[in-house]
Amino acid sequence: MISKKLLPSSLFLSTVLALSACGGTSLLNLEAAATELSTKLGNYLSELTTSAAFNSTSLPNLFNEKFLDGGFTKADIVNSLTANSAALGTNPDLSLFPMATVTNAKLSGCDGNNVCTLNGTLTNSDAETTSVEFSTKVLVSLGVVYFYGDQSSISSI
Amino acid sequence: MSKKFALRHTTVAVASLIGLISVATVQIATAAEKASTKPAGTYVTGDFHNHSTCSDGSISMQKLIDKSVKTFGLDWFVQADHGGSSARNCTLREDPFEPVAPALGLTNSSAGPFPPATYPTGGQPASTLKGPNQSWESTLPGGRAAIKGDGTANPKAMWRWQEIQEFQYKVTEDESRARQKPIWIGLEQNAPGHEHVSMVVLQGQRPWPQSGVSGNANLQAQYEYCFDRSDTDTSRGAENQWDCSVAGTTSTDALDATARKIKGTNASATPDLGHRKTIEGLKWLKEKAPTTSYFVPAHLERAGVYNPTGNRGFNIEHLRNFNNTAPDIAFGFESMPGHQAADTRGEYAPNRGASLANPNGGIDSVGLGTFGGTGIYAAKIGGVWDALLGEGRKWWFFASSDYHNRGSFGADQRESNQDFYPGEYQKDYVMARKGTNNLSAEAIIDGLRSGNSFAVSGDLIDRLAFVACAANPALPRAAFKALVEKAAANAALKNGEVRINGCATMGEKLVVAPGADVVVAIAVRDPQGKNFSPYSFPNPSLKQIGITQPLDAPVLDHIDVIGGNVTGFVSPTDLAKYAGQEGTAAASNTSAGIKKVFNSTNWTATADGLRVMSYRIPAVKVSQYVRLRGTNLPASTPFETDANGNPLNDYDLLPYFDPSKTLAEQPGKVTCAEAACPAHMRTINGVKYSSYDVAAWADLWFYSNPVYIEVTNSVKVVGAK
Repeated sequence: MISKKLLPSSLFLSTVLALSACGGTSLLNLEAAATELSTKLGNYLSELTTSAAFNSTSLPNLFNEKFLDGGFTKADIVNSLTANSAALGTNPDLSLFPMATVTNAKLSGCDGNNVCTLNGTLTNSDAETTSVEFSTKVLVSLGVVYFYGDQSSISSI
Repeated sequence: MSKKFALRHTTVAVASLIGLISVATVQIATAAEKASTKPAGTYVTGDFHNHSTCSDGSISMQKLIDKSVKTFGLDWFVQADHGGSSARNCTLREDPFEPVAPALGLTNSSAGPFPPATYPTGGQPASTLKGPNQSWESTLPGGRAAIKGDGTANPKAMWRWQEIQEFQYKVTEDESRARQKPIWIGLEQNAPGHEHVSMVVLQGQRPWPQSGVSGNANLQAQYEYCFDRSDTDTSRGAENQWDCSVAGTTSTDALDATARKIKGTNASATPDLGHRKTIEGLKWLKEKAPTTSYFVPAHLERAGVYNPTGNRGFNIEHLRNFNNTAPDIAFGFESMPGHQAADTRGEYAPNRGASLANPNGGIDSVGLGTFGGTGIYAAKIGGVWDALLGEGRKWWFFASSDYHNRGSFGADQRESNQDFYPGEYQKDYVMARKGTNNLSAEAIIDGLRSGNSFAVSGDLIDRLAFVACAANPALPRAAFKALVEKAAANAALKNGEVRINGCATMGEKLVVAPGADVVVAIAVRDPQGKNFSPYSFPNPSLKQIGITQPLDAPVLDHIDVIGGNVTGFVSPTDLAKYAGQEGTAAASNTSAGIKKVFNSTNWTATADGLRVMSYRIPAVKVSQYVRLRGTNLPASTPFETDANGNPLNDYDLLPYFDPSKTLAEQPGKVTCAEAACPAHMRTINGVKYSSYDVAAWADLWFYSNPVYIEVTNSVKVVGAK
C-alpha cells in the first residue's frame, strides 16, 4: 500500500523531495534527513558509555537490513557492539574505538532504487583536529534514510 | 491535516537543526582516553653510545659533541665511553677544533654547501701526544698524584669513575648549556659476564635546560666503580668510600670486604658470577634511579653466545633476566650496532678475532654477521626480538654509532672504513613529551623507556607516524580508513604522533574486544635532498638490478608490516622456553611473519613527501603486535635481500674468512664499478667491490618499535600500557 517515488534530479537542487506515503503527500527535506541520520549516529555513539547502551538497538537501527560495506554487515555491527559491551564490563582498559563528528551531510545521486550518496565531513577532535571528506551509500525508505554501505562484500582495505 | 502539519513542523525543526547545529557531534566517554590526554610531543634524534679518548676513542669530548649535535644535527646526545680506566685526557680539545671545517678553509655553515664536498686528506689532527691524546698524568696540575685509586702503570691510568665524576661530567654540562641541547654522560659498561651495555644514571646531572647550580655525575661514577667488569679499582672511589651493596641482594656473600663490590666475573671457578653481578647492578639502578636510568645491551650478537665461564654475548634468557629484574630500566637492545663502515659490518663476523697467527682462535658472532646492518636478534623475523615481543615484553629496538674513529681516515674526512659519527649514519628517533617546556634529558629517557621510537640508517626516512586503531563499526569503512590515514599523515607532518582515543602507537597497546577489526595506518616521510653520504655515484647494490640511484639520495623502496602473536611471559622455571641460543624454541616466535608489504604500488605519495598507507587486521581473536621495517632495497636484490625482502648476511659480501689472507684481501660480491668509487674499496685483481662505508650507504633500513594489540579475552600484554 505504500508507494514512493523520487522526483527528477533537478529538484534536488532545491533539496526538497516529494514523497508519497500512506496515500498522502508529504514533504521531506533530504538535507535535513541526512543531517538527522548523522545526528542520530552521533547521539547513539555518544551514549556508548555503558554496557547497556552497547546492547541498545538504536544504533543498529540506523542501518538497513541489507547494509553491506566492504564485507561488513549489519549483523557484524551488532556483533561488534555486543562484543564491546561484554569487554567493557570486564576490562576497564578497553580502548573502544575512535569517534568522529559528521558535518556537512548532503545527499545526492539517488537512483531508481532510492539509493543515494551521502557526502559529508568526518572529524575527530580528541586532541588535534583531523577531518576527511567522505561519501557512503544510504537508502531512503518510507521517508527514512538508512545507511546502506557500498554493497561490496570485499574490503578494499 | 494534522499529519501534514506535523510533517511541516518536522521539516522546520530539522531545518533549524541544520542552521544551529549542522554538526552531529560524536563524543564518547571511552574507558581508555589516554590517547587524547597525552601531552603533545615530537620525535627527537640522538645517540647514546660513542667514544672519546677517555676510553678507546680518537677525539676529545668537545669535538665528539660538536660533530654530533652541530655537524650532524642531533637533538640530544649521551657521551658514553667504556668503563675501566684510561690514561688519556679526553677533556683537552683539539687545537683548533671549533669550527672545524672553516679552520681548514672549508665552508661549514647553513649558507654554504653542507656538508662540504671534500676535506683534505688527513683532516683535523689529533696526533699522538697532542690534544686529547695527552695523558692525565702529564696534563693535570697535580700530575700523577691527582690520579686516584689503584694503579701502577706509567703514565698512570685514571679510573673511569674519576674521569666521569671529576672531569667529563663538567664538560658535558658546559657543552649542554652552551649549545642549549640535552647532553649528558653515560657509560658503555663492560658488563660482567657479557660484553657491553649502554647505560646511564641521569640522577644528579643537570644538563640544559637546567641552569644555575651545577649538577654531578656521582651516581654514574659510582655505578661504574661498582659494576663495570674492567674497573678493578678497590679504593671504593677514594674519598667517596662507596659501598656497592644492594638492598635485597642475593649476592652479599660475593662482596669483597675491601673493595665493597663483587670483584669476580664469569670464570671457570665462578660460572655465571658476572651475570649475577650485572643483575645486581640493575637492582642498584632500580634502587637509586628508578626513573632516570636505562640499561641497553649493545651490539649484543657481536661477541657470540653467552659463556658462563667467560665474558661474551647475551642469550635470550639474559635479556629476560634483565627485563624481569628492572623492566623500566632494562627495556631494549642495540641490535643495530655501530661500526657500520667497518670491514666486517658492525664488527660482526665468523671466527671474529682470528688472526694469521691464530687462525682458529676467533669467536663466531651470533648470526655470523649483521643483516642489513642489524644483528640477527632483531633482523631475523621470528627470532629473539619477536620471541620477547611475543611475551608482551617491554623490549625496544635501538641503534647506535659506537663512534671510535674513521679507520684509516682523519676525523674530519668524510670517508670512513670504520665508524660513522653520531647522527651521520644512524639516528634514534624518540618521542619526547616536553609540552611547552624545553626538551629535557628526563623527557628523552621517558621516551626511550616508552618504546615510542624508531631507528633509521642513512636518513632513509625522517618522519614516522605508526598507529593501530580499533575500527569504529558504525562508521563507513572507507571513511574510517581515510580518517586514520589522515591522522597519521598530519602527525608525520608535525613530527608527532596520532593522539586519538581508540588508537595506540609504538610502545603502547590497543585493548580491543574479541572480533574487532583493527586498522593500522602508517605515514612516513622520505626526506628530499641528500643524506650525509659523501658519494653521489649510483648505489652499487641497486645497480645490480638496473636501478640507478645516487648513494646520497636514497629512496624508500618498501615497508614490511611484521606481526606476531603474544602468548604471555615465559616462566624462568620453564627452561626449555626461557633459555636458549638463537634459533632454539626459547628464542623463537613461530607466529611472527610479514603481514603486509607496502611500496609505491599501494601507498599514497603526497606532495609533501609523505608515503601514507593502511591496512585492516580483520576480526582479531588473539593478542598480538605489529612492527615495521623499511629499506631502500627491493626484495631479491642480489647479496642484499632474499625473495621475501629479508636482509641477507652482510658478511656474505665478504663470503668467507681465509686465514691466509688479510681482511682487505677477501673478495667481495657486489662490484663498485663507477669511476667515482673511492680508492679504499676492497680491491681484488683490479676490481673494486662495494665495502666499508659504501656498502653501508648502499644498504639502508629503518625499524619501528611495535604496537601491541591486546584482545580482552586473550593474553594480557603486560609490558605495554
